[in-house]
Amino acid sequence: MSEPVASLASLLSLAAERDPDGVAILDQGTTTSWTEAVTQSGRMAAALLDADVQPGDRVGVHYRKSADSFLAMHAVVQQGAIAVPLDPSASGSYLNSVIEQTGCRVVMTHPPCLATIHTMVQSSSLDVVLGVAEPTDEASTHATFLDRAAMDLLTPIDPIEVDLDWPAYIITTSGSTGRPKGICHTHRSAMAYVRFKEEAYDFGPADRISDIAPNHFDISTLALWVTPFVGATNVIVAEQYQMFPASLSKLMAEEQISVWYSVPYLLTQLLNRGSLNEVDLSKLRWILFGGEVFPTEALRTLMDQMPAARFSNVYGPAEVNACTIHHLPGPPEPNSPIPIGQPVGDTQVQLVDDQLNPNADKGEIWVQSPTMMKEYWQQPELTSRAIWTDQQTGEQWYRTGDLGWLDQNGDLVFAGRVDHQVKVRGHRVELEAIEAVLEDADQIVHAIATVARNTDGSDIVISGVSLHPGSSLDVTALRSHCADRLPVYAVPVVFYPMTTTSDTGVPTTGSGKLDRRTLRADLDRLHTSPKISPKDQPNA
Amino acid sequence: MPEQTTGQTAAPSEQVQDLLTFVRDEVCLLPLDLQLETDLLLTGAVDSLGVIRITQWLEDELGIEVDPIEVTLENFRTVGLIVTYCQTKGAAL
Repeated sequence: MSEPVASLASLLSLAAERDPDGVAILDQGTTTSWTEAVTQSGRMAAALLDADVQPGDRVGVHYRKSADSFLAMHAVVQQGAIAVPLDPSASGSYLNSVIEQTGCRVVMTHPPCLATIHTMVQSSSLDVVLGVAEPTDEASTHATFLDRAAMDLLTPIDPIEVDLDWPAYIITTSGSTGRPKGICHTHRSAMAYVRFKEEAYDFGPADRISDIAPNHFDISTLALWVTPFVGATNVIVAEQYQMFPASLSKLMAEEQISVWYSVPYLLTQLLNRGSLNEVDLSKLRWILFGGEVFPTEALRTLMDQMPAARFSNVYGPAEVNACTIHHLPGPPEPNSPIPIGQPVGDTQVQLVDDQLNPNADKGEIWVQSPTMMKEYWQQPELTSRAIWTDQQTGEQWYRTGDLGWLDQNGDLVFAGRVDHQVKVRGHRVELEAIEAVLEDADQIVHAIATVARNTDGSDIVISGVSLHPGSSLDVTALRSHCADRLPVYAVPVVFYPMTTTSDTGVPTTGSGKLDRRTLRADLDRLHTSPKISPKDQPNA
Repeated sequence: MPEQTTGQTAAPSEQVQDLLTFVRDEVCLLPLDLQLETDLLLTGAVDSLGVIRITQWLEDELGIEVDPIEVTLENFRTVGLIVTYCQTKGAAL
């Protein structure tokens, strides 16, 4: 294995040594040089030190996409602390469960997140908030606040010497019970990923790389860590552009983005509603996509519209970062799946059947890679279930839960899941977690959740719920109940009433349990049936 | 940033009220005291799917044709701005 020489802590200062005046960050026309990036992250790091943040401490990083969302991640790892990026769209209650799970005492944030921060400090263990002023119109809290202007008065400090095996960041997803699961990467695993990316692509200082995925979504690791390593410019794409493909394509042209990395959903939105023929995207030379399956027809059309750009399918659960890549030689054949390709760098992949035999034609994708996470934060049982250790050799394999097979070119092709995990616009969603949260609501007896495809090609979570006698379906209350406990993308968009098991033949399994698999399929059919709307449908 | 105006001074018409209700009850991801001038984007209450659903509603309920190139930050930041946009498309609101 190639030994990474640098840690994440030194990425900004190394970039500044190479090219002090080079543009580190471009945020809607405003630029930050590498030298300024070092100074600003050094001031943020000084604020962390003043707050007594020590190596190994977890620090919440709660920002909408901005120059500060990039700098704050670097400031935390520069101090040897562990960054816990928080979903800026999630509710304060959900984020408090993340804070609790990871044991954050300090959070870094900025004014656009103020409302959520207020909710969080009222009922969590947070005692320092960096980046916003103390609220004057709210009940006082025990937390100390330091706003950005005050942080700017601090003397920047240098990164500390970090051990490569120290944890660097924790990405949380909702586990199958609804309890957040923290995927913990070390400086070593993150730097191995950075090296792989450098090897797989010829990114350089002339590139402008999109920084579009929120930091809690692992697609962001390219912009966060690889961009400074190769000395390219990080182009911030604020969330609101993602909602408006016509504004987004204009921004891509104006900021001359050369490397794009997002989920396919965003690219299909650009294709369908981005008015691509109205903008000059000639600088866009490489499009990477990952996180979910790209519908073949949409990709064919997009590639036809952008003949100058290379397209690559990137695969890898957050636990192992990216581990395989497929560079498309040209537009894919109709009706053929897009392969997830070949392992990168020192990564090894094997297909294991359900009897645990390796080298299966089709099986679960197991990955061995220096990019593998250290653990699920403080959940050793979960970790030992996910990482299989060979008792003889000590080799460790991450069991992805994804199924795959090899095509005639030896390329890996994704073939679904071994469990009930699904993807919603690239985000992992555990259906059991959504159902458990719904069934926890007062008025609900049983709940079924599934993911359905909308006519525009996007996926949404839909649910069927049966109510206690005398209860009525209060969609607003139910949505709010879910938003307190789940990430936003997992909150059901549509609720269908179901009759209760007591008075109808709702399918059950042999053991009398609810037959969730059948009900989910029924629900999907119900939703995609054009004649029936949620309001007039009594049974799921 | 310049103050954004909604173009609405009188009490909202029934259709504007319907639009507000639709956005609040069926689009917003988080409970929100939605007004004409509420910034839908900064609050995180509306995601990309929500924008699509709003444009579908405008086409279905107001009978206007929404050109994708006009679905921009400038036209859709608030319900008030959406109303102004629809008026330029000839909708009587």
